[in-house]
Amino acid sequence: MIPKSLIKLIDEAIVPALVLIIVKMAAILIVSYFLKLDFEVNINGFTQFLPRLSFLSVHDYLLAENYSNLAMYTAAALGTLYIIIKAHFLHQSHVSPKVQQKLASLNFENIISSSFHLYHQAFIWLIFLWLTTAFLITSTLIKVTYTPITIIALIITINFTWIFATDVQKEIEINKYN
Amino acid sequence: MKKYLVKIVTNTLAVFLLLVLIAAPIYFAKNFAQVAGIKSQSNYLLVSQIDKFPGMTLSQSGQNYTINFTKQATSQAYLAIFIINNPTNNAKTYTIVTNNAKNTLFFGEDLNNLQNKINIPAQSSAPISLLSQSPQNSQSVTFQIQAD
Repeated sequence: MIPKSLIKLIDEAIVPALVLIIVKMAAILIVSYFLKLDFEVNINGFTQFLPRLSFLSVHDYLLAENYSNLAMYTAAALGTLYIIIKAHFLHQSHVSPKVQQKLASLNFENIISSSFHLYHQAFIWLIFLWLTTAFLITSTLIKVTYTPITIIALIITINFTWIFATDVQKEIEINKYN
Repeated sequence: MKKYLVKIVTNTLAVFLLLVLIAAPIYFAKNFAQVAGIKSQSNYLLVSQIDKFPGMTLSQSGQNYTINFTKQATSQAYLAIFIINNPTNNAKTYTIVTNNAKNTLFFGEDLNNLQNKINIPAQSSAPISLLSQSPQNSQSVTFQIQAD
């Protein structure tokens, strides 16, 4: 009844969404602990049931926000990088015989993924990567996130998208000649 | 027909669920931390001049201000017992609310123009005066100031 692709996208979106939320939360708490930043926890801080941290000074807030935004972006970038590496080297349609043989000898053949699986994963991770980049850009425009972080993030995001696009192009060419 | 309706509803819900999953981390990132102590600016500042008037006292309970005073004549005016200041960056209209008909609090110092409402430009002030016409000497008046 529901298209297989849509179910797959929902399935693939759960883990990255949780990872980004947990990384953001953990990064703020870890940074606050190590840099000794003062904050209060407001129960029912937003949407009536989620807690919110209130930093007692703008300086502390900016430090925590910058480090946690950087951590959140790094998590999104690492997730995307993992999928890109899989798409280039462990893609069922064009995995090299040498790698396949090696993986078979180690009994790791199941890490080779199909295009259906990889492209749904990549689609979700790239959406999260671009959304996080957009969030950083907005945050920089309102003078919260430091500009160098956003510039580096934008460069990485554009390059990851371009690298993934080369894999899609390769896949199209393989399908054209088959 | 029913089958198509169920299909449309389930697909819409599935897309909605996907959008929620995608938007959740950004929404969370935006709202999880904030700077404490950001509170709304006060709508007015009330500067008391009451210590210039012998026998007059002021008390405050929440938004209610109470003035106690003893008169020397049946009808007596006390000019500029308060100065109200508009500390905001916009012009505001202030209204004095009191339930005492014999003791009138008004903006300005003109006894011929007892206005209980005034528009004060940004960062400006206006005096508040009192006219008491009660026959008793000992008086008490409670009032509030409302800002629009």
